[in-house]
Amino acid sequence: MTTAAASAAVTDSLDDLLDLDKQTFSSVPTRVPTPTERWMEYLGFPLGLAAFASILSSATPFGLTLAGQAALACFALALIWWITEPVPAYVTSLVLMTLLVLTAAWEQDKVLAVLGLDVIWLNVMAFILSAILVRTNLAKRLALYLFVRFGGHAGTMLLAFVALQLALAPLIPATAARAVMTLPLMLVVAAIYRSTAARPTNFGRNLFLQNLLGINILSSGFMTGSTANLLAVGFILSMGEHRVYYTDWMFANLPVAIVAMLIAWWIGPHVLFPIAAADATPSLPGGVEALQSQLHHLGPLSLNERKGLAIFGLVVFLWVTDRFQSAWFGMSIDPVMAAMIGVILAFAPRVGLLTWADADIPWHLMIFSAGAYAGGLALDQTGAARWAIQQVFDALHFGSHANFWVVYTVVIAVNMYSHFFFTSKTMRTIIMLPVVIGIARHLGFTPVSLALPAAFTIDWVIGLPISAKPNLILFTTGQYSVLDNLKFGFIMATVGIILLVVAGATWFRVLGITPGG
Amino acid sequence: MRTRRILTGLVLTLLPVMASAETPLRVAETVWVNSDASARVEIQATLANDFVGPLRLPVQLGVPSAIEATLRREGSGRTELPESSTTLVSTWDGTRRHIVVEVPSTTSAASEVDVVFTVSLAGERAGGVEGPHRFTFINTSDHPFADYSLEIVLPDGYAFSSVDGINASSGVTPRVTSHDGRHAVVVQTRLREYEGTVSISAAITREHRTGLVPIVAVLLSVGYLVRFRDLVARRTP
Repeated sequence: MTTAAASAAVTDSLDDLLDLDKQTFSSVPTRVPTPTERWMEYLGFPLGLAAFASILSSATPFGLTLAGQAALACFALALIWWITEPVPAYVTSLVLMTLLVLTAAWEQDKVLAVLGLDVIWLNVMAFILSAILVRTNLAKRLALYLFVRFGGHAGTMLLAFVALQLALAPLIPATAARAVMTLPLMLVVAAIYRSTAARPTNFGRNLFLQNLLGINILSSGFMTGSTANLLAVGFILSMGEHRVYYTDWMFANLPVAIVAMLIAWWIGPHVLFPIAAADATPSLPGGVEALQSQLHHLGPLSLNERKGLAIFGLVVFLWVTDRFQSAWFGMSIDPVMAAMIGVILAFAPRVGLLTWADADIPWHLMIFSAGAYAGGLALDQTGAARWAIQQVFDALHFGSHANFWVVYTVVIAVNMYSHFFFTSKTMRTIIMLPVVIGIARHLGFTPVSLALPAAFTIDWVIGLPISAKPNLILFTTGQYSVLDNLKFGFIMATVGIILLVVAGATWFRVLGITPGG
Repeated sequence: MRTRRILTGLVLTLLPVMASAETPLRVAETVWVNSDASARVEIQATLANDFVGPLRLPVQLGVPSAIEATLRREGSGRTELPESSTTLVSTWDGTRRHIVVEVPSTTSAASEVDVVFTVSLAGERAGGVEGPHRFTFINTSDHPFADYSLEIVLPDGYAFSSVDGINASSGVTPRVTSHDGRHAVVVQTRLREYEGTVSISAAITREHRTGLVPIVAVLLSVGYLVRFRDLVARRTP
């Protein structure tokens, strides 16, 4: 083979590798399960049914309606099946939605209406916007740049994504938007490191799960990081009679979130998903030089790339400026509407750059999301979620002489782990914060000393693909399993508890949040 | 005739204003529901020291019968009030009823009036208590309520299939709870304004357990474990 022919073959092969058109979200990736996953799949089915039958056929506990009891039974079955995957996650969602109606846990019209929720619409719009980055080669260009700049080794590449997510967090509060913007970059980088849906490597697992963590918990560094944070601040003001300012929140918790990210950056590749030496550096045909050459060959920005940048820029501008829009335009544009404006422009004849065939919408994910939200909303609206949380706190029997640090640790742990059973941060905040403030008042502690640290856990929604919108979006890539997500999420949530307890005893004391400062 | 109409209008206009001038009461209403859709209602009204005049307690659940009233005064124990001291008053169209209790002129001590009566919750509907119910209380008395709680306690063997009702005026939501080993739901709020409303929408059902769900679950599980045993079968390389 001549050098030119070899070079052409290398380029073809590299093109294949970086061809995001081949990594469609709308087709469900198939993976070969590990022996543990096969056992979980085998036992998960009867285990889910056993949980469902035992909850449904036991006597209705006091404080719970029959609808609440049925919602708990349905959600328990779904949760076990989502984790163990005896049937695909979207089928579990369909089973859950059917059972919610058949057991009279929730009305049919409410169950079916979930597919029209703004969160589902945002996901649909987000995937179309993501297609802009893919179709115009912008994603490839940005990822190649990122790689050439930082990507000699897996560690520096992962650290570059930590920095990227940290830079985006204060600018774009919508976590789904951040997931969509960075997802194509992750896909290209994963491809460079040979991690695909068909054969995910530990580099891919670390890359996607670390970004999942970053997208979610870096929101907890800013009071405006999510609507739920603002809601918590409202509760602390109205029920706890303490005003929390933007800087109070940021100075207290941004360091915690950054330390957590750095721990994840180390603990992931070294403990949770050790990256084999072969996977730690890109093994590409033609080596790193080929990627530099690819970047060089992309040349200056094409017209479509410029259009894509303009459309994306407009949407990001609308997302970033949402709090000022009322003053500027006399109206505020919701993140979903901002995304929809971008999608309209992208599809506009002659002006736009996409056709419907380019829109790669994973409908299986939308069905999965709809089921998860239906289950979560049913738990909330039937009062089952509130009842379950109350049972946990009641079981702890805090006496009037309870030690502050014991109560603090328990409150942080319950708030942190509760995200496994909720699908909405807002719902979790509405249920948890008043209970925490009530406990603080009952025990004679300052409400803010428990409620603010508890509020810092709101954005730690990292345990399962159903826990938050970005989780669902990243899960579609097939780069990690539900079990991988659970393992990473549980360990990191535990790390988060330890960090918040340590911060409570030190940093928060200095800031006057916890007593003894 | 015209003068009387003007005077009536004036009184109706001033009623809320007059009410707001009153010292607020604390009222707790417990409805013990029976399986035949009758209910025993217990109303406990805590009067302030300076309470003056007859106590007017609105009743919306049905037509009360067997009304009994007791007065409990701080330091002097319980006193059964004579039957003549309680009167059931209703408007001409029967939409608003009040139990009027003539409270003996109070001493300086705070007192509590307990009123007990029975009502039928079935209305025109035949049969037992199962089904949807709406328990509403509108404060049409001339007393502002500093605190009002409405608790519905179900008979043994019954539970709520669902409970709804965010009360638009107060924003409070009913809380499902228990009372003496029975399922109950309670809502607590302030009804300081004339016609302040609180309500609970609840569907009541008999608690019955069927063995069908566990049987189906076992059958499906066994079928799955047999049909899918290849998942965990030892694989030859």
